[in-house]
Amino acid sequence: MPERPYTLTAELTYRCPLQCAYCSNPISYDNRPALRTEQWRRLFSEAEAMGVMQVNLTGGEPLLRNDLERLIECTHGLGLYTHLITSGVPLSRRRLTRLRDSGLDAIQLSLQSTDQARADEIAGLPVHDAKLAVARWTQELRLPLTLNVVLHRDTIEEIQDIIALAEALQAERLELANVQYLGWAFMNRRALLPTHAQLEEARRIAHAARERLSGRMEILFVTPDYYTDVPRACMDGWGRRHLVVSPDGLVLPCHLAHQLPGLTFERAGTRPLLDIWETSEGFTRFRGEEWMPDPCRSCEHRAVDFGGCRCQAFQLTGQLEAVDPVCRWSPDHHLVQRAREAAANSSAPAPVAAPLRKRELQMVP
Amino acid sequence: MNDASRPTLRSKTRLRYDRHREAFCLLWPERGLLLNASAGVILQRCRGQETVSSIVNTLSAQYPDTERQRIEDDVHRLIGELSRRGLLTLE
Repeated sequence: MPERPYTLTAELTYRCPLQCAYCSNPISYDNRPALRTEQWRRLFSEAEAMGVMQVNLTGGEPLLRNDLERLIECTHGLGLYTHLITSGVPLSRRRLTRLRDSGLDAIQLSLQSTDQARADEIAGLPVHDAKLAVARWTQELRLPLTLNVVLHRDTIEEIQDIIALAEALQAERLELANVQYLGWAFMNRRALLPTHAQLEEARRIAHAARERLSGRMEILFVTPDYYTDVPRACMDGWGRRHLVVSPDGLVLPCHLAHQLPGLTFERAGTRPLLDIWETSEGFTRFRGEEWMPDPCRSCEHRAVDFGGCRCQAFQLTGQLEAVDPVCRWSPDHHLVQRAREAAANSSAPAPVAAPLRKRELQMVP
Repeated sequence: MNDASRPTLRSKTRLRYDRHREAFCLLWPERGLLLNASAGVILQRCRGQETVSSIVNTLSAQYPDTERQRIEDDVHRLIGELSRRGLLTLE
């Protein structure tokens, strides 16, 4: 039997007022009704019973659910570490106070940039100042804050300013999240992928800051797979530590797995969550090592990267079981190298497709 | 850190007993540490009420079969490590 999962990521809705070109939600999805309060509660309780310790409440924008307070009361009541991942829009100080009083343990707030005009352009809405206000309220209300800034071609050179802002806002954690090129971000890769030189400079600055702020602020610098040559242990391995549940209740090993063709995922509530975790086709398909192609199956790194990212392998090669092309041993590694070269050689801004129609309807690019 | 320091787990952390794995877990956003038995016992006392030396005294009384020096080393090592990682403050 597989290990029990530690973390449940609950995607409470795909709706979001923002239109970031690197949105990590699926490009298209079935327009099924979202789970109701009671269904989420049952799911949280089942997850807790099977060993989950942490819940990430995210979306889309979880604040759009008016039952968020009740859901937090539920996860807190179950003793789960409850973490809200949000853009901070729309939010009042009063509601943030209510969320805290419902039992929220920590909040992760995204900022699109340190520059107001740029941030608002990326978000597609004038929200930067409102987000800064939310950050300040978290300090006043003593809610532990993780600041998350997504790094790409247009923002990566702001890294000094980002770190300074995180210090000024007394963030406990700063996540410098380089875009990973899946879904929307893959579609907009030409506009988003930084150059190698940009990335290396940012990494140097992030590492120096991590040293300087050690013990005060935790700094995470997530390298984009495209510049690593070694696959990332995506989700710490397929069906190994994490459960993700989509707004309409699909139980998934990662937030994009339902975009992969030919895999079957099951809905929460149709049978016990533990059974879905242990035996469903979608979870067992890439769990462990048996599915691995050559050279992964004999590679000593397979216990470190668990075969990398399936969504990325499929996105780049059209094959579910391909070696993750970011790996230097992949026969498709040239696809990644070519993207890097294109980033180094392009100077003109690339067109951007933003998820403008991120409503509840099905989206087709 | 000295004997009079009062180790306090940071507000972003929570200590939770994991009945499946039969161990304490220290949780913070998107991270967690599964603790061994002695780390779990030590961290339950890191609430800002007790000094390092009083934690050592209490645990020595609680575990008379374990050498005091070993308990002291464990306490210092764990508290030092978690304070370097920003999970605990020393007041």
